[in-house]
Amino acid sequence: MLMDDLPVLPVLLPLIAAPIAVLLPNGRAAGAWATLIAWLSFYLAMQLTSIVATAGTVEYAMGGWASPLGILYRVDLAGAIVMTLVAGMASVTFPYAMSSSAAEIVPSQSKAFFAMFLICFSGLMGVVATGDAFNVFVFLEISSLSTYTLVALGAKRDRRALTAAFNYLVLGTIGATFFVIGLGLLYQVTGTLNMIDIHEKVQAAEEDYGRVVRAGYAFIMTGLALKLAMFPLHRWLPNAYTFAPSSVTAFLASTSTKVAIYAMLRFLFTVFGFSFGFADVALAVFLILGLVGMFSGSLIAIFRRDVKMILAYSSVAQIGYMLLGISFATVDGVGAALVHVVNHAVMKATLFLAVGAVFFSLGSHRLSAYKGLGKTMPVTTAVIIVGGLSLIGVPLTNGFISKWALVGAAYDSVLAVPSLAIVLMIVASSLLAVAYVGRIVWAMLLEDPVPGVQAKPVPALMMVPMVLMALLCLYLGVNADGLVDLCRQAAEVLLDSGLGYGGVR
Amino acid sequence: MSDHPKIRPEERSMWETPEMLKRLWIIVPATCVLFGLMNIVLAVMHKTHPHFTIDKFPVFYGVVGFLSFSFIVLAGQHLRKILMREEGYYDGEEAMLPRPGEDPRVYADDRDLEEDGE
Amino acid sequence: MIPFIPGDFNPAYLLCIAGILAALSPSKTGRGIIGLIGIGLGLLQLRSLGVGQMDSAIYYGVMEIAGYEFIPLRMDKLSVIFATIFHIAALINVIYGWSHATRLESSMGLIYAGSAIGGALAGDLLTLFSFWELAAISSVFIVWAGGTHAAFKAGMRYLVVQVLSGLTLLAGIVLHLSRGGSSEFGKFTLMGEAGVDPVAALILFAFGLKAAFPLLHTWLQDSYPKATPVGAVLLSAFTTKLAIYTLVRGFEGTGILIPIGCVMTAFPVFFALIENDLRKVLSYSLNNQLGFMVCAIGIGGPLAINGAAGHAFVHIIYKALLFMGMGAVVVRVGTAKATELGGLHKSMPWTTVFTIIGAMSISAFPLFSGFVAKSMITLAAAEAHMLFAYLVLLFASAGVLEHSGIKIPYFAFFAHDRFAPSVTGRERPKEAPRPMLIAMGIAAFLCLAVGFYPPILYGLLPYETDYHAYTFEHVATQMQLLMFAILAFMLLVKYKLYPDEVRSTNLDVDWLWRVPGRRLVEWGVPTVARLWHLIWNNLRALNVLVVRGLTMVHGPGGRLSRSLSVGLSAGSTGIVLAIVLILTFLN
Repeated sequence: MLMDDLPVLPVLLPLIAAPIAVLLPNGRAAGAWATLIAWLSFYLAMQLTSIVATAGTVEYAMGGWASPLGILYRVDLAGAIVMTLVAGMASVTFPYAMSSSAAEIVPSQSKAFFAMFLICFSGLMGVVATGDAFNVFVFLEISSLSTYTLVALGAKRDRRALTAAFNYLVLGTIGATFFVIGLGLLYQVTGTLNMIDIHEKVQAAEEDYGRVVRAGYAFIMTGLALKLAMFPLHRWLPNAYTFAPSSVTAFLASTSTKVAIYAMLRFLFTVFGFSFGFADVALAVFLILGLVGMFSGSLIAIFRRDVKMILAYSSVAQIGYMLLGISFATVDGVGAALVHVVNHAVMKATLFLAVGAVFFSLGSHRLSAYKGLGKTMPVTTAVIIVGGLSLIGVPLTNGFISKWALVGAAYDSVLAVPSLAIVLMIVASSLLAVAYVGRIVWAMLLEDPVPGVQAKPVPALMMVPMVLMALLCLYLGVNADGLVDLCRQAAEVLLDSGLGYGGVR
Repeated sequence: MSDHPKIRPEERSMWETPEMLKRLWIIVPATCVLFGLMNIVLAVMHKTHPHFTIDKFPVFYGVVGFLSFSFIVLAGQHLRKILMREEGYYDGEEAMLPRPGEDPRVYADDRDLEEDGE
Repeated sequence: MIPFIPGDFNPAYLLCIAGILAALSPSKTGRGIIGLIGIGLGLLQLRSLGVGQMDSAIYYGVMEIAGYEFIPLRMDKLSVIFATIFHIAALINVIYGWSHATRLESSMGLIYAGSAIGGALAGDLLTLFSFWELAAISSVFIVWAGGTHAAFKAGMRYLVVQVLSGLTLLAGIVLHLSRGGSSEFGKFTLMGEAGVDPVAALILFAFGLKAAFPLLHTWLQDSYPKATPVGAVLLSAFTTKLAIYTLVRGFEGTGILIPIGCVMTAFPVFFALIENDLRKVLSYSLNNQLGFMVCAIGIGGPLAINGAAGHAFVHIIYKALLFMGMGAVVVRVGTAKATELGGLHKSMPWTTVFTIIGAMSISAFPLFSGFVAKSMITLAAAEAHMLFAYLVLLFASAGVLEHSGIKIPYFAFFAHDRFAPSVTGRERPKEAPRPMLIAMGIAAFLCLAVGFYPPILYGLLPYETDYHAYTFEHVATQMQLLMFAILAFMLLVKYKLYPDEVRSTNLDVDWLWRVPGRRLVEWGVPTVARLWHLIWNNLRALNVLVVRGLTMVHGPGGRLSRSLSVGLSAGSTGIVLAIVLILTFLN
């Protein structure tokens, strides 16, 4: 019975647990509760992945109402991977937050903080699990609204968190609005909200209402592009990441854009598919803006003097890689993008957790505070170096695996741009990563510590998650076959349903 | 032989006496004749197995030996005009210096040790 | 079977282990005894492994790893004759160096001998390559042990050539295996149906470097004379003969080897004539002797291969004997330069006798070992009706007589007596040390034994043979050749046409890289550096410009990284939407 409900349980569990967290006596208890829920969800998500990996896509009709009338939950392999990823990140960041939030959040708000965390978590899981287009919007908004709050909670340490949250709120809402407008247009011509159903009906509708379908397509793509912080629409991201509390940054950076990418994949391949000529527009846009983002994000990161800001812009660049992989529209390309989704989540979580640890000890995330960190905080330094090497894509780290997969996919794909040029650009932007990571490592290892600054010892609750993540970076860099195979399978499933059944491979 | 060292007659060994040289001048041509004749006899008796036309000539090998040797010596020495350089041409004085970090006396010591044992 | 040693243990390892132990032993006698025991055990082990015929070798320790078949030991008549002579050479060396070998020389010498044995017994290509490289590395220490700057530099040049040979061999092996070739070291075909096979050519080049093919030969004359007296004997025995073995195994009957062998045997004759350093004369002579073997390998067939293997066998002994004689002179007088020697037969009679035995062996006088082996090669050339090759070999035989048979003993022990007490005011140099005399005695005995009773050698040869060296015809022709040549020598000396010994350095092809080559490098490196600095400085200037530009756009406050107002951000979202819409509709 429990196993039958597997697709919804990881979504509903945190949603139900959130109000309970507010009722608990103190922030610490709420944190422990949230952690427990996250672990449980992680376990369930893993179960789900193993089932999906063997038995194929799982469907679940909410309340027993069959589709297209009822709300259908539909988890394919890519979804299961992303759900596991989100739950995994939650189970690492929640215990970390128990320690870090004590320093960064006003104590009276900490119960609400964990409740918001749980809701955000639930929303992100929901976006992935649901097979209903409108439900995507609902969960997207659940996660976004809670995210705005979470970002704003950083105001205790830096008031700029409030403007960052406001900015994010406005832009996020614009994105959501575009998205829902697009959905509305589609609903108008198809009369259904079930993704598979839309896919089937939109073909027929295109003949009669071509303009509506096209407009809907443009609105949905733009809306989601904003949510996933595609290059010119990334403006909300750096400030939000920089001023949010450390644990929130780590969680958001490793999950929310990834979930948006997954939603994009679903709409691109499952809902619209490739039978439309205009589908190529999105791919071309992704290719160009992905490449521009790779360079622009990295270049800005090089010149920033705030480590969190550097990493935030680096995220913009890394999203460029994922979009690039998607734009190839081949099994290898999408597979590489999914591999990078997972690997980037792991390495960014590693880095942001470590940055949070430094913030906890020294009270700053400016580059100048990192001077001589190698002597004062050796473990954290090691973790940052591992994460940084992953970001560059040095062999034996997971970053190398995803770059390798991406380069391989680029080499094999047939594109308007010569694939060799793309390979070279990937390599060149990796060199930019060397520059910004190098700046941090330089400060930590080669400069002398600021005299008179005492580093507070990092509590075990923060230390263990970040070391664990760093080890995971290395593990995924050494033993990557499982992940790569899984992602390739997932990409096959995604493209199979979208390519008009067995299109370009 | 310009810098021929002058030694006293009593320092000569039996191999350096003029008599020995005279004897050599008899022995060597005599041997040449002996083996030349032997080859001719063998050829007459058809006991030779020439493989080519020219080695049917009985003293072919003697001729080859004499001519080859003369050619090597007479022609070879002119190579010096092209190839000969002063002794330290490549490595100069350095050639005979001991290697850095190595005791130049090691080898000499070895020799002394050994001589003591003798 | 030797107790305590596994039945299929490689004798090469026994020598290598002895070498390592010798390195740990502080006393000379200890090192000598370790060496003797190691070599003795190696010989016993070699015997107990047995010998297979040429087409039915006995294999030991065959194992397959990742699809590659390793054959550490392949015992057939060809590999065993080389392994045997390498053992004998090692044995003679240990005795010769009993009181004079440094610790480095005795240990490295044993390892070097062991690697040559291992290379000869190796049945597969990678094992061969490992021993090939081990031989290169262990022997360079022996060159360096010469102790002078010149020896050090010559050692570096030696090392470069040896490593180049190893790398070429490895490249050849990899290419050979990658196209599905067998891992067993067998025959390569140089001229396939589609012209020259590049893989075989690579491997031949590797072998040729070590065998000192003409133009590739200078490392030999460069390094051997710079080693110590003991070291030179060691060096003369193994490297080139291992190469000869590999050529026999891999390139028997490859036509190109005949002209190579002819050139190789003829040209050193002239260099040896004008050379002053008698050990360098011996090095050229070594080259000339290798030419005979290479020629025989090119001719191919049982007789020629027997000749090549037999010649290698006897050659190792008499060449070592000659090097030992010259080494003894170096030990007593301090130099082997003809200009500073002469008349030594008065105080070093034994050394003189032994050296003359070596000289007569190498000149192939009947009753000496050279005769019984070399005549097989000339006969093979004659039977194949290769007139030109035959004549070159005869010419080279006269050449050998000139530089090794006459020049070496004549200038060292006779000629101008420079050690008379009335000239130097000192006593004459003493006779060679006793261990050296014993080693020379053994070698001289072996030369004579093989010369008097050739079946000792013939039993070891790769192919069954009913060859008889001592026919009237062979003796008559060979003696004619030699005696007429000696007559020529006497006439030339009498009429003062024989060239004087002169202190000199004679150029060889290595001049090309030692002088203009070095100049080119000396000129090229700073030029490239200057050029690079020029480019680098310009790049740096450009870089400054680019960084400034990027900072303006991307730096804090730059156009792309400024935190825009909400309105502007929202506006940009609208613009993107508009663009996507337009594109979608245009499509």
